[in-house]
Amino acid sequence: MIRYVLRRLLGLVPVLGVILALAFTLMRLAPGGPFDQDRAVHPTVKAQLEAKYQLDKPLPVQFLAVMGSYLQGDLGPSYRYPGRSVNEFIAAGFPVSLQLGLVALSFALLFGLLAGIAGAVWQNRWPDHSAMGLALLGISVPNFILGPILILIFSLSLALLPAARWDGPSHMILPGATLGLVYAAYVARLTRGGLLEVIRQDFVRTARAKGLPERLVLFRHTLRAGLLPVVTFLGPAMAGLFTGSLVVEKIFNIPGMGPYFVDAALNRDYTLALGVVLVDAAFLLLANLVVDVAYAMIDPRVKYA
Amino acid sequence: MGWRLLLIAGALLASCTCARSDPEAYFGSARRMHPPGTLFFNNGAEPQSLDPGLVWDSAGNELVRELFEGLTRYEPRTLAPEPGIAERWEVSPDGLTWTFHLRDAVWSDGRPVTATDFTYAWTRVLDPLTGAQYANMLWVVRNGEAFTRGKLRDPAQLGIRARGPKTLEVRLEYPAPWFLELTAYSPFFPLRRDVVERHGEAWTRPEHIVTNGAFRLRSWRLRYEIELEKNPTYWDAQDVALQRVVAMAIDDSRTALRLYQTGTLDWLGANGRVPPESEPFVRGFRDYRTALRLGTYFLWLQTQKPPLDDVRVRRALNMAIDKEAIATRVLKAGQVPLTHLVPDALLRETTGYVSPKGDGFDPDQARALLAEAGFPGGKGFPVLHYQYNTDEAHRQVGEAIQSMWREHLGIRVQLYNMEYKVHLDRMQAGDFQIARGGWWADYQDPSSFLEQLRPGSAQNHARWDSAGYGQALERGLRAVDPSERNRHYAEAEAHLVREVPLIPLYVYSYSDFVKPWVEGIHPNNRHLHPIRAIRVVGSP
Repeated sequence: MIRYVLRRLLGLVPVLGVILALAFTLMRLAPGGPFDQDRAVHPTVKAQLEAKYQLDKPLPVQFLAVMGSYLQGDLGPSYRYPGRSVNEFIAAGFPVSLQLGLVALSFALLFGLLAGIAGAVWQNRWPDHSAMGLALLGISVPNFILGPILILIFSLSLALLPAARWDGPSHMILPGATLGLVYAAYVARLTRGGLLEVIRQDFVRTARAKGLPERLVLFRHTLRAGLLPVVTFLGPAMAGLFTGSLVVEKIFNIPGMGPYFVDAALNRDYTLALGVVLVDAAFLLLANLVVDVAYAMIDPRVKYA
Repeated sequence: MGWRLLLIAGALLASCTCARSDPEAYFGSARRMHPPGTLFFNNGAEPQSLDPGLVWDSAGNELVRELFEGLTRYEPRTLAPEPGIAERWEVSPDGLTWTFHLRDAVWSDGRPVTATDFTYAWTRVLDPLTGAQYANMLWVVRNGEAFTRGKLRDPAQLGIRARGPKTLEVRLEYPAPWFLELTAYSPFFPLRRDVVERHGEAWTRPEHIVTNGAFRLRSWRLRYEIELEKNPTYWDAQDVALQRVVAMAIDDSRTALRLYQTGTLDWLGANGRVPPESEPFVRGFRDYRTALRLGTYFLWLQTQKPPLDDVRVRRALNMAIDKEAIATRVLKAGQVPLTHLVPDALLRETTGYVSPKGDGFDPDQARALLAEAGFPGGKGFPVLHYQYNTDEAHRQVGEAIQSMWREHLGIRVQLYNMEYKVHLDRMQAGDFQIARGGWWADYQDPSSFLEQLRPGSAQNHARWDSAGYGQALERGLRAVDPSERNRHYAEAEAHLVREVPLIPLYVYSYSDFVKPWVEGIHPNNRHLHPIRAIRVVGSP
């Protein structure tokens, strides 16, 4: 098992390299540069800026230089914010996005699992219909609609929760719900589906035949196997949740990592954009690894040599 | 698609929250949330920098102006320059040599502000190694341009000299009557050489920065908020009412409006804006403010490429646009249509400048001109490409013009929505036909608008090369007598309205919200409101 994980981790390095090379190339293909603005900057000044950040060197040389400093843990200086490093931006934004992601994940699991289990246990009865109806609604309403609606109800009308900002636990509820409810809907549908498939299998019938109470059948046998699809979904979903959401962080003015990538790409802040790609990609790859390991732990049928 | 939905949703929300538009009512909470002496406002974005020499975005300038002070500062109502660090000054009869006498002002660490703080700061901005994007603002100083271009290496040749610790002598390239406005602007602020050199690029962090303005930097949370506190060592500290100012970096205008509504924000801020789709619902409230801005929205025409190299075609396009309809029926936020580049009505009081009138809306004449150019009824006219950067309002203006040209001239236009940097890149390369443009003046003078079309200027996206224009501009620049200057500038602008390298559309306006307990934010044509003059009074 440990050897398997180590082998997978080693395999991540070339994958990351390829992702970074692609991102780097695509960014440089886009017209315009970091120092272009409304008021034309004088060519001497622009040349000076480009020399300062080594943007005047051939692209492959620049890429190798970037990779070299990455190996030393230095993600480079931001071009748009002189005197600020990409490390600083990520250190400021990542913990915030992680917090928001955890709150959202809690929402997703709490509501998703409850609704999914209710749907499977009372299949085709009213709890099932209402839970799945809500889940369908959750999947169909995008968060840029849900967020303002929640703000309208809970902040502007009822004045219960803050409309935006990030200054304590009360500020986490609305954005956490906005971000988490869509995931809750998926979790609910996957849980229900997974459980229903397992519930008809022989080992569950055996458990019942042994005379186990229904509660134990559900929690000890059915859930463990039935949750595999949810785990599969949660891996990449967690990577997405923890690295920030552009829309939710903008709507609620949360200083997380969500808007970094789009803003950096629009500003041609190459180093910041590439730094975010690195973090996002590393997270996604790791999350997938965690999912594979979790399989082995949950499902006795899965084994890694 | 997603963003359009978002707009619709925003409009729906705005309509349900603001249905009670009563002229006596305030928008949202009229209860003060924050302690006395504090102001919370939206600064619109994370400032690029708080280094006066490097900053060029509006979010940064807004704060740098409060942290530092130049020779002059803006009078809050009229924005006329008034004595700042300079107590008084003299100017030579030819308008070229200025002598500033500094007052006994000190930095936030107690050291005196001296003339060498100015010579150091100005030389640093002009030095090409600094990479200051606003270096050309200082080219008004003798030899400034040559120094930035690297043609001249000795800073002693620059027209800046400290004649003693409290006397600064500045020699200019040309008499610039607006020079005292420039000295109230970030690149002209003094700097402490020892602080900059000791801390390098990190000198603007709260723990290192030393300032000489009305406020000090207390804390800086990246992409979230910056906190200023009153600077007790400021020379005019007795007139600064606010003890604490929090500038939030909220880039979503709908979020900012909601925070204003719930009372978190006291002021929407000069860099905030009312979301266009909310405009109709919020206009009636008592705390809504609107005013014209010293800026023009126009279309660049690439004059080097056919068919726009023909002045008759350019004039026809201009005359076939009903600008009144664009201002009053498409945008509906107080914009005023224009037939010339300079919004002269806003400059009349300060400069007395009057623009020559350009062609008005005249579809018949437009058709005649197009026929004369060889395209009767638009026949044989190629499809025109019209590009704009992503923005709902730019799209609406583009679509309105597209349909006007089709209706009045019988020509077809293809609209191209572009990301901002791509839009800029195309314009700078001259690789376009028609491009949305706009210009906000840096100072109250027609030249701030007219200089951008100077032949050979990198800003002249039209690539319009008119010798008459360039000469008139040059004469205006050298003239000392105000009425003579105005005459030369009017002559230059007459070339412009005759040859139409750009089609002026309207004067910008701005909308703002200010809570009833905030005083000292006066409407003005640059939407510039010194925070040192703002005070917060008891709830209504």
